[in-house]
Formats: sequence, C-alpha cells, structure tokens
Amino acid sequence: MLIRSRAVLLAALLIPVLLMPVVSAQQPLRRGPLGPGPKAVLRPRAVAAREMILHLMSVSPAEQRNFMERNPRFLRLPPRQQENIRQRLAAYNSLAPARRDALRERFELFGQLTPEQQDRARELYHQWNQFPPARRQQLRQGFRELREAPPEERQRRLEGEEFRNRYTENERQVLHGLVDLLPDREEF
Amino acid sequence: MNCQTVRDRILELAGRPEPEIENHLRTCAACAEVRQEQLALWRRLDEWTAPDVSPGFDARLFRRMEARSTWITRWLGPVQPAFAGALACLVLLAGVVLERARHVPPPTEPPVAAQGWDREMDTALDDMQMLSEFEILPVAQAGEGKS
Repeated sequence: MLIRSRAVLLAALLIPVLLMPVVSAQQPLRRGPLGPGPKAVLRPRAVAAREMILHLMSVSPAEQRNFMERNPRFLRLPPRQQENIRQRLAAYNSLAPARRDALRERFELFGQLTPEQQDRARELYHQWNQFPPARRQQLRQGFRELREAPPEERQRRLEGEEFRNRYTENERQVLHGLVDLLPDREEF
Repeated sequence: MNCQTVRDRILELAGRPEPEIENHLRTCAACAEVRQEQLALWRRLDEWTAPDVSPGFDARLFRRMEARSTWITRWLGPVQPAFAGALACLVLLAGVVLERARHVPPPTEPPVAAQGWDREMDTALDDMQMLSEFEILPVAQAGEGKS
C-alpha cells in the first residue's frame, strides 16, 4: 500500500515536470495572422486556404514570389489555381497601402465569422451584383442611414413607409441581410 | 624458451608438470626458485580456512549500508525499479515528441490539414474579391453580429 501510494505520488509530481518542456515546445512561436483561429478545428481545409492567402497578403511582393516559387503546398496546387492566386495578388499589390491594410483586415475578420454568416454574406454579394450601378448607389445610401441609426431603430425604418417607397422587396431583403451582419453595438 | 615465458607458464600450470618447463627448471636456478615459492604459496592457500562469520554480521552490514544511503534513495527504495522504468519511458517520449516538434513546418508555411482543398482555395480567393468589391459588407467578429 505504501509502495503504491509513493509510486502514484512520484508519478503525479514527475509527469507534469517532465512533460512541461514537451508541451512548451509544441506551442506556436507566435500568434497572429497565421495562428489558427477557433474555426480551425471545424473547417481545417478552409482555414488552411484562408491562412495561405492571408499570409501572402501580409508579406512583400518579393516574399510572395519567394513563397510561390518554393512552398511545396502552393506548388501542389493546380496551375490554374496558382495563376488565379498570382492575378489576385497582383491586383491586391496595386492598391494603395491603406486600402491593402483595410482589405487584409476585412479578410481576416471575415474568416472569423461563423460559416453561416459567411454564406449569408456571399449570398448578399451575389444578389448585390444583380442590381444596376445606379441602384447600388441608392442602396449604399440606404444602408448608411440604417447603420447610423440605433440598432433598435433599424428594423422599424426598414419596414417603414419611406424605405418601402424607395426600395423594392428584393432590395430591402439585401438591406435587411446587411443590417443583420452589423454588430449590435458599433462605434462610429 | 626464455625465463619470462617459463614463469608465466608456471603460474598457468598451478603446479602441474610439463616436460618442457621441467627441462628448463633443471638448468635455471632462478626459475626453479620462483616455482618453489609459487608452490609454497599455493600450499598455504590450500591450508587456509576462512573464519566463520560472526553472528549478526549480515544485519550489521545492512544497517551500515542503510545509514550511508541518502534520504532520496531511502524514500524511493521500494519503488526504484518502477521509478527508473517510468523515467526512462518519459524521457523517451519527450525525445520523440521534441524530435517531431523540430520538424513542424516553419511559420511562413501555413498548416494544411488535408489535401484536396482546391474548392476551399477558390472560395478564399472569391471572398478576397468579394471583400474588395463589396465594401459596404459589414465584417464583424464572430458572434457580434446577428445571424
């Protein structure tokens, strides 16, 4: 009995001490754009693809080229997709620095939305593209008004007579979807 | 046969006769004397008898050994073999895990859980374009927006 209790006590003391360097060696060296977020467990492929793009958006054009020439995972992508990434990056690199930063930040934040929210945003984008440019401009204005209104006021205005007169049913659905994606408390 | 070889053989033979050695001893007084001394020593060893161990010797010996052991060996005494085995396993495990950790891809290479992610890559690229063109789309932290 004494021997067993000593053995258990020793194991309890030694295992954490001995495993501490092992556990700390497995910790990621840094957290940041490349660190897997909470969705990594649920959708590892989506997270991996998004993190590769985010990484490419975070480095200089020279580093992008170096990555695309040497990274084995990138080189295993189909040529069509490699070319697609190159073209998107070329467009991204041509943006002004402030717009690049904003887009990278939006891309990172978008990856943290729930899969349902992401799908809803894609659906809204698809609907948005169906509207002619002039209507999009009107919708931008309407959305700006809703965004600046208090959260409890937005729904009332969307259903109100003014918006019914200004927008079609489809357009109000898009506005409704955009409002749904707003945080409950947004600072301006 | 020289004297050194003969003297080595004397020790090996332990008194048993060998013609070649005997011939040498007849002509070499020094070697003959060495053989006589060796034979005398063997005889004395044969005659010697070890004294009986006094009563309680073992108990006294173990007490002295116990007194010399450190507190850790006394405390670990009963579990030393298991402790050593467990320690060896843990060290081995730590070595394996550290070795594998050394081969983790560098930070410039994002992790990929599985291959066949073409569709996900297309989606990520489409999202990049969407966020670039659809600037009024609100992008909030997960859970902040209403779903």
